Amino acid sequence: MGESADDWSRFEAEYRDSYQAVSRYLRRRLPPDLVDDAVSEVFTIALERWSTRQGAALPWLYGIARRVAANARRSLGRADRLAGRLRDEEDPLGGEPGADTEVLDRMGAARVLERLPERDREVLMLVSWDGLDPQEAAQALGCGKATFAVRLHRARRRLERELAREITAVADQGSMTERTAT
Amino acid sequence: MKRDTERVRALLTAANDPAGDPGEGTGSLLTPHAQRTLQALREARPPRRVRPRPARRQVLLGAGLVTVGVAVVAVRGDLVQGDAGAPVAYTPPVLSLHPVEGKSAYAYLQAFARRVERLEPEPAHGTYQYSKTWGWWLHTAGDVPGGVANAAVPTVTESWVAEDGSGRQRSAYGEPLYPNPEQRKDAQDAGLVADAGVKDRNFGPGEFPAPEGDDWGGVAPFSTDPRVLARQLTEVNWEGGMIVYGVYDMLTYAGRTGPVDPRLRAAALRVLADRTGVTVATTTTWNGRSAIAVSQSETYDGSRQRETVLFDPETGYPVGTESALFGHARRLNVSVPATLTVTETLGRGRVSTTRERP
Repeated sequence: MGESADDWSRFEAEYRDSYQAVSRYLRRRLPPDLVDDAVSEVFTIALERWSTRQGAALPWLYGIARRVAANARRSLGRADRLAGRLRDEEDPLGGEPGADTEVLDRMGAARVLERLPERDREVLMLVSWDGLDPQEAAQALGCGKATFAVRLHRARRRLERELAREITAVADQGSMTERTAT
Repeated sequence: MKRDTERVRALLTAANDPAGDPGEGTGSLLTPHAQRTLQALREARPPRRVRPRPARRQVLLGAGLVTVGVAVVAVRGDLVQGDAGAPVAYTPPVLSLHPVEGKSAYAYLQAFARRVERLEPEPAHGTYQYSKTWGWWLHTAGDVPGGVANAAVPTVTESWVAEDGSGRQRSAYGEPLYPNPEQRKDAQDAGLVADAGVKDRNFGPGEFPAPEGDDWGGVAPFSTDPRVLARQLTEVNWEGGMIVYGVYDMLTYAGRTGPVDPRLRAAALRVLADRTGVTVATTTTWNGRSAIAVSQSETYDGSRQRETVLFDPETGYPVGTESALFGHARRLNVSVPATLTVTETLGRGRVSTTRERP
């Protein structure tokens, strides 16, 4: 057993090209203190499976990272520790109600995503912050393109419902504030 | 799909990315941690994974403590057992498996499936699905002053889960056991013993944790056609071909809020029957119950890791797991054969409140 020098060179090149992307992928899904070790785990697994990889490298690495992140969360004993961390943030409500993006900017998009099921968050992040096109995202998830399209559509609608709910809550808060002031 | 993609990208922009400024550390310049990891990989290649289930192990690579749930053991050809003196094992005994006679694994599992699918579905009285499991995980730190340190924490977990994903979970942790008492402090400092006493938590709708993973929800409902079920399993199960764990996790997920349809249990057994490399045996569990043991093994350089899922011979429900190591112990500093992980379901049933037990 043992890969050739060419294999190692290719792996090292991919490592250098992808390390930051994988690190950022995991930073969106794990507490900060777990990220470095999780990245190490991803590339350890990638080296082991290097000869059997299929498709583009980054989606393949994201597929490994997704499961490493899931394992890390399970080992913490919570489904999503990021949710607990975000709940400690200050209440962002107040001020004038804004458009979807303003709500996201004000609240922190991660906090809105935290209200969605984990599988919806994954789909949404893959095509946005993680920078994959839908075909690559389907590869990262290990599903077909049609399946991914359905998941993306549902996730997008749930995201917008959460945003609408938040905008309504902000509007109600603003009305109450006005009535109190007058 | 294009419209959905564009809309999502318009909402989730770089400005609100929780990972921060994409300009940080771009290009091929690596952080010091990244460089250490690369160096460790260069020195340790080819790596070989030794993965117990459930994944609760911690192993130090050269780059730092790996705290994710899946164990990675970097194996080099020049490593020999016993670098730190005579190894000491202190784990539940490895199950003695008696291969079924007169039938192939395929024939045995197919017959088992036929018996299970003829069972009557169980009534789902009460609000909560209750289960009680006992487990034991060997945690390992590979980079401590005395060599490899091990610690194990026996745990009994009770769960009450409702259809809406609310419920209660109570975990009672036993006294940690240290195979090498001299490494107790190293093991504690390495964080191998994180849990103690009793933890009792309530969860709201949709919050109950799923140790087997949330991904199963994306492929549910599960088909009772074994060919379709096999495809569904591949969408989630990735444990390097260890289909026994995929089946175990799927059935555990399916059964967390209520009884599992006997046709689904039968389909899962047929998926196992259709796989090569699966062996079937009878055994007696650590708590004295009869069980059907379905196993797969991985072998590398004189070391064999056997992964087993235990099934109730009457109902086809999974009732436990074992990960066992044979042959060369590599760097784990345990006497082989040794168990690395064991779990057993001690009870299950339906109750009306989270204060009741069947």
